Amino acid sequence: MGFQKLSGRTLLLGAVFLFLALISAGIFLYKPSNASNLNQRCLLCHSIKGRPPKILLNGDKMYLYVNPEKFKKSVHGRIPCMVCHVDINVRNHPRPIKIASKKAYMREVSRRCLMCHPVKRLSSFHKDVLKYSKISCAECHGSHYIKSAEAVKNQTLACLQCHSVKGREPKILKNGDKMYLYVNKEKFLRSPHAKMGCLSCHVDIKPEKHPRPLPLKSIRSYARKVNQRCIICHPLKTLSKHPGHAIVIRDKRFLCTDCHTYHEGQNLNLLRRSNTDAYCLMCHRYNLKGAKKVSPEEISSSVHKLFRCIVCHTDFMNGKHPIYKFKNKKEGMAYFSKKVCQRCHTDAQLRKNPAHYALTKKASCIECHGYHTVQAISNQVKNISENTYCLRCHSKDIKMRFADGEEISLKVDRKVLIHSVHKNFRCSECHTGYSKNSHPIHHYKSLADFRKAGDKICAKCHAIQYKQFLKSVHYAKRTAGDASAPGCIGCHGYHDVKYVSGNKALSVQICSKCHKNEASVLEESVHAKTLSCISCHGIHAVKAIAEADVDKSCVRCHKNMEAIHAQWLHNPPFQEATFVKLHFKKASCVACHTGVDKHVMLSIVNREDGKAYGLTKELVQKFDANNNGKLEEKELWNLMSTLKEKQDVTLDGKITVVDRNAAHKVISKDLALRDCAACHSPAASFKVTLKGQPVERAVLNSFNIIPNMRDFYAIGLTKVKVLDIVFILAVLAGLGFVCGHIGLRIITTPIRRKRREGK
Amino acid sequence: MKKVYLHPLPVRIWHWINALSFIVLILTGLQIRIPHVWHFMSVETAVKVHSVLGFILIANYFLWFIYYIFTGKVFKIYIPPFWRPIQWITSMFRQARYYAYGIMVGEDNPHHPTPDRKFNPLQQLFYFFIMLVCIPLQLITGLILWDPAKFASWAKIFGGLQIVDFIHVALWIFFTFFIFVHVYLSTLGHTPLAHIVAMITGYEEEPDEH
Repeated sequence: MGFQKLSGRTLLLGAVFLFLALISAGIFLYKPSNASNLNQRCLLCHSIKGRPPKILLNGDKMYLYVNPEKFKKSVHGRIPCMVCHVDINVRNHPRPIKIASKKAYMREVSRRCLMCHPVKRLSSFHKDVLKYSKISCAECHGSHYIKSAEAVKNQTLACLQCHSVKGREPKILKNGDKMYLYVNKEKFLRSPHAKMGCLSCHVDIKPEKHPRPLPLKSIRSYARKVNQRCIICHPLKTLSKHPGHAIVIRDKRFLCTDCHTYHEGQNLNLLRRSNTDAYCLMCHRYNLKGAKKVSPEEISSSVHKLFRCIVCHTDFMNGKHPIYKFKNKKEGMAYFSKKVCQRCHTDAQLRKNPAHYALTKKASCIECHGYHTVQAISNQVKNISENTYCLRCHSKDIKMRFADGEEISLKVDRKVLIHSVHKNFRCSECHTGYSKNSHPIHHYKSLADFRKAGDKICAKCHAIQYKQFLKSVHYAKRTAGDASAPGCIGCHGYHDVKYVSGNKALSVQICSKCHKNEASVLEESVHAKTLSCISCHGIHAVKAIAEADVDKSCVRCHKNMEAIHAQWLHNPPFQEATFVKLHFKKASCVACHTGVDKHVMLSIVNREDGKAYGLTKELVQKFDANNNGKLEEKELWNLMSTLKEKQDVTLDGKITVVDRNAAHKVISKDLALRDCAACHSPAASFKVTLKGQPVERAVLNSFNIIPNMRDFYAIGLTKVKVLDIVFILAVLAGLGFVCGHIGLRIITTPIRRKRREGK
Repeated sequence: MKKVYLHPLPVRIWHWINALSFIVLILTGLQIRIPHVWHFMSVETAVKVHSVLGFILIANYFLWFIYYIFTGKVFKIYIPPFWRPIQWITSMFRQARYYAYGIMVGEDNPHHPTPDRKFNPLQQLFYFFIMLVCIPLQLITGLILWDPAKFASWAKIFGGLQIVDFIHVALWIFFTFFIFVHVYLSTLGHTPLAHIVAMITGYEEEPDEH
């Protein structure tokens, strides 16, 4: 036989060829009708309508009906059911299998999809969906009726047949919104979503029932509903990869369609590449949390209007979107000023204007120039008033440092300024030399030095008041080196200048800044409602009222006091005004009208002219031999002897109050002191001082006051005690004389008797 | 006993007003000085009484002064015979001897008052000093202290208020002593009340001359 002649090798090759030929013929001759026939058996039962649903473990109702016609038209119409439903065993079907839930079963079945559509062949978009959304294929593509691309396209075209007609009447929604149903066909078909078809997003629309009007509340609510579909295909995690986008997503105010439009589907990558500014403004035109709102109008009016965003924000180039985390707004301003502004506007350039350069060390560029509204100086000068120009910087929290290291805020509050009496003044009217074009730099040694200069500004207009100020105790203190002594601005303020003289409450408020105790005592005074500090201490030429001069302030208002007091303060039998005058001279009003402890304030006067001797506290202290802080009797007389060697001096005194501050606490006249014995008694408790140095109380009752305190005399108070002893001796001497004489007469009675009897 | 009209009515009126005023002034003066030790009236009242009586005393002094000036007796009665010093001193010594010794042994009073020589030499010296120096000085200093402002220039003459006060207080002490002595001596008549009654009636009883 011919076969016997064939070698074994030839036979093997022939067998392989035959096998391959059979396989090829099988593949070539494969007909779907075979699958269709296979599925006939499944559909025999699953195509019956009205069957009760299968109740799943979680209670889901799973309807097992499959429309044979629709299934056959689907892309999987030719695939046997068992290819996907591998869990079903034909031999024992329909034995019910336990299914946890509808979703779980869909996922189970969807695993089979990946057998034919492996992940590596899927688009990155699909990969993200599977990775982050963790949804089954069936949830997007449907289970049995997966349409072909062409069917989807046909459906889309069917939708657009109506919705691409321009000029249709809008749909009026419940809230009155007009919903225009027009979709630009060409643009939509070019959009990335064209292939998905309309119904992928508009899941609420059933083509077979459309156009049945849907009850929509508003455009926004409907858009929000449709937007829910976006995140199915575009998982939030994917969308949040872009930090900026993540911020927008977290902001619940925005919908996807706000940026990406409804149907045209803005290609943002294209936009980013072609027009970065528009791309940035997509989000930054809104006021987003942690991001600066940027108005296109702002930019267009700025000197930087020709700059692209990334010219300044270079770290946003190449699609990068860094997120900054600053502790506060100021830190952000400082960062951007340094990293962005000063890249072009260098220190070397800024030094040309010293004021501006100094300012850059105190405040960030942005604080004055703004973020995106940066204006050319020439524009600023042209369009705004001088005060507004100045306040552009001086409304910021900027400071000036003096040579001694102390700082002062140069911040001017516009609200304060407009309530000032100088509200109609231009800044340069006081700050001469400064203008929109000029900003001299002054250096001051200290705050006191600065304030002195300030006072001279005031003096330009208020020359009379300034001259008065030069006579004030405040000026004297300042001259003596007390930096805290106020000048014009110390009381009137820098920019909140107010009329003080007519405003009692304001006067007290201003003075109480330094004289807190006095003000609080004044509040308790009968004068609290009627007088202010300046009523007694004067305006501008403010005088520290010495205890000795306090009465002068009283009689300025209290007229005819001598006659009034003479009604009760007189020495009978005559009412003499001079008697009241004497009391007024030697006791201050407050001694009786405050109800506080009194004291005798000694002074040394020249006997010739009655003027005060120039006694210093240091000299008084020098005579405090035992350094106990109190001038004792001997020490005082030593002092007087020493002074008398040089001049004819004597001690004088005045009764006033112990606590100088208490002099402000004037009580009503009904409560004023009228008890003469309060002073006119040797037992009256008085503190005695000389130039503020305490003096032993006993000096007032010493014999030495006779030559040393010529004209200060008060009955009882200045009683010389030794004369009381002399008085007692005189009484004893008188009685002694009488008793002694009587005694002698009694003793000598016998002598007289004998003489009378002639013996 | 013969009666001598020694104390004319104006003098008696002056004397008793003076006497009462002195006592009250001394007491109110004491009250003013030591209210914390002795309190029988308020300082205010004491000062008022003291002041009113002070003016009464001034008026009273003028009554005395005018009477004696117009009658011309002031020179006869009050001015010691300085121009006869030996006789004046001898008579003073004799009178002092009487008070210290004579009265004890029953000697007669060397002085026999007449309307023109009613004071013995010691009385004359004391009353001259009291009436023409002490009382005017006390009245002037009192007046200054009554209103130091009105009489500031007067105070200046004295060298200041403290000196004025010192003089006033010193005289107050003196007058206190004087009152004791004066009242006691007024009982040394021939009867204890003889001089006092004489100051009421004006008639002093004198033993008849032998």
